[in-house]
Amino acid sequence: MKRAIIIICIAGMLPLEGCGWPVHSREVEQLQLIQTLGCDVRGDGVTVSASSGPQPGGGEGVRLAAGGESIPAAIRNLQHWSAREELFFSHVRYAVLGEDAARRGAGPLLDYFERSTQTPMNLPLLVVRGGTARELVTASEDPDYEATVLLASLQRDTERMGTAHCFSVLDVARRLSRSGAALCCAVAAREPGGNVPSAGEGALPVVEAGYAVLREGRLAGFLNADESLGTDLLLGLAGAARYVLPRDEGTVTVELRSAEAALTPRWDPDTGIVLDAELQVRAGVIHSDGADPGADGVLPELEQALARAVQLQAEAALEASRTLEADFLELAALTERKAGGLPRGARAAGGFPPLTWQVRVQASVERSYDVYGAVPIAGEEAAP
Amino acid sequence: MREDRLTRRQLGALLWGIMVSPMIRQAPGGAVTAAGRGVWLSALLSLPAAALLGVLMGALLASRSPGEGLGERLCRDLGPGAGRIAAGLWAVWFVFYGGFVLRAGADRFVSAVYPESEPWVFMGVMLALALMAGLGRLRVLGRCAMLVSPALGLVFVLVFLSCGKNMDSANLLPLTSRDAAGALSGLLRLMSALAVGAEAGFLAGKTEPGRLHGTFAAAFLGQAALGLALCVTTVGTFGPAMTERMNYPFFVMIRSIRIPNLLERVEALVAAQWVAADFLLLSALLHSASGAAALALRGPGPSPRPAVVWGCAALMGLWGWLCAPTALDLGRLGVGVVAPGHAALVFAVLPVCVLIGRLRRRGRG
Repeated sequence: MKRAIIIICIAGMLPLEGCGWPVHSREVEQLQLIQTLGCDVRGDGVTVSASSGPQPGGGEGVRLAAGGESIPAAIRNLQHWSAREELFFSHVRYAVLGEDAARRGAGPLLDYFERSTQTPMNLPLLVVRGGTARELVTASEDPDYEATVLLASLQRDTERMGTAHCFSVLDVARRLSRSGAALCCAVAAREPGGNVPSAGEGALPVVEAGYAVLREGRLAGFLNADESLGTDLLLGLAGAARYVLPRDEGTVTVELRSAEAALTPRWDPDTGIVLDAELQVRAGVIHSDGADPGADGVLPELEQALARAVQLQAEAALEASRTLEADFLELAALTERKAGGLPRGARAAGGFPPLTWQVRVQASVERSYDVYGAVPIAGEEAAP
Repeated sequence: MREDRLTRRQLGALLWGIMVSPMIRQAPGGAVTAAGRGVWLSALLSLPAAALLGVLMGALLASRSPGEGLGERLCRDLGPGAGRIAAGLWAVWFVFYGGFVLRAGADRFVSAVYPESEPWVFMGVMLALALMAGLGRLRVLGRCAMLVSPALGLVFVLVFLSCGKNMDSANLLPLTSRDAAGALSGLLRLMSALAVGAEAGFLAGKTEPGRLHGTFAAAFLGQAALGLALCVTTVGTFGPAMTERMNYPFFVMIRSIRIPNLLERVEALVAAQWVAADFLLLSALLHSASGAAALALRGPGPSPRPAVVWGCAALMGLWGWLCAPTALDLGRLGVGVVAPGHAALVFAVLPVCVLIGRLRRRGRG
């Protein structure tokens, strides 16, 4: 009897081997791995664009776009353009949303990522400022300037510079779910001009373009560079951001080494949320154009200038949050957490309570990278 | 020939292993619906409740005679007639629940790893494996549990460590008084997963003599700790609202695990481990169902005949085939019948049976 059961088991496992039915199996040689997935609006439907990224051995990957009534329908149509290989979305590394699609709402794309059995959720979600995802995803024929390569480079740069953090699909979905607002890294495709001489035909260098602010799932606006950096400072995400501090005898460029934010919100029945933000930044001098950072009294002045610049950026971010009525800093939730709850009706007006703030910054410029004082240049000293 | 008996350690490993599948279903999926953000508080409360349940199960089975499990104990306490009816009730429940486990396991494979596949193939293979275990000796299953349960535990530890970086404390805190109130209803959902372990008391008749307090308490505590880790990591990753929307939040969470330069995706590996947990559960259910059915049919006696095992397996397969035409029906069945059913049988019917037994004994003097 046991032998019969073993035979039944083996027979039951045969379909798992890969005959396609009843278990839908895939052969890895017949899969085309998609690494960047874009989404745009097209009439009442959507256009989905996909890029496989650089292929092993330097071969050219696929770049496809197709329309449909919904994202899954468009993806099904996308498959028609790849007759030999099944498009496989388990290894998607970047999700890109065109500006118009973001204005209509990020919900369909988030829903697709949540429901799909293939796609992960911890991949960056980017919004193309002033353009479409298709332009970015399918533009370049050159494997060196293909969308996935460019976006990977951009992600590394933004993480290092701290100018716009690449929030993931998961971050965006849970922030929208929690606070009704979320941030996405905005990117812009630029004509190469003279700065990318080796780029192939159609290559579009991608640059970071601040943050896209989603409110209730729809694009409410963009943050400029200062507002974005201010947001990163308040969220504790600022990396090695650089500040060019003007001085009478030239400029001094400092680079952040660390930035910490202590946000203490409280609820005031008359004014709403009152935020007391205390920022502590540490920086080092990385370039001096004529000024001598080692001279007496210069360092305190640099610290003061840095503190002022950081304060203005943080205030710009808070002002943007108030203007866009989008709680992308999650201050209401933070107030609830610290004060043990917001009064009933506090979120009534546009979902975002009134906000006032006081920002204090403590800046320290701690070191100069190897060179103390201004670099002397022969001839200049001889000048009167 | 050696007697077919589990050691207490094997019983503990088996108990822990069979509760993994229902716990993943309830923590946080089912419990977060009831408790919201406070689901981790429910899981925290389940720790002492689990220890207490373990001690109570140990106490219930403390005076067992050799070869006497929960079913035989019910027959002794309630009398031959009522005892056999109670055993029959449990046999029907085990068959019903076995069918559900078959269908749910297949659905998980279709949803998480093999989309566009037919569920019956997974059900067929799983049922055949469980039948082989059901016809065999229980101690073979116990030895299997000794291998599988630690491996499952290790996989969970690695998964939780890998998921830590995606967590956000704002998803777990602050707790309001409303969340704290919801934590109690979440606790009931989590306890329904532990009730599956309590029902394994039917296997205590084939366990070596001795106190089982520690065995049950350790298995329940270990499972409650797993529930706590599941609630904290999953809700910490997605937040309560997103978690509530998902069928298998744990699987969506592990979809995002990547080990750079080694593994791009791990969910298929974790799903494969989960098969082992389903195998333990289904095999234990088949042993329990056939034992309870034999009790109901002919009273306390030797092990059930193979025909009873075949019959129970066939009914499980049939019910698994019919119970939920769609995944949505399956979800409704799980929330509306299975979880409350476990809770009702273990926390209401079983205590009533024990109470009646005591009254009868006292009446006899």
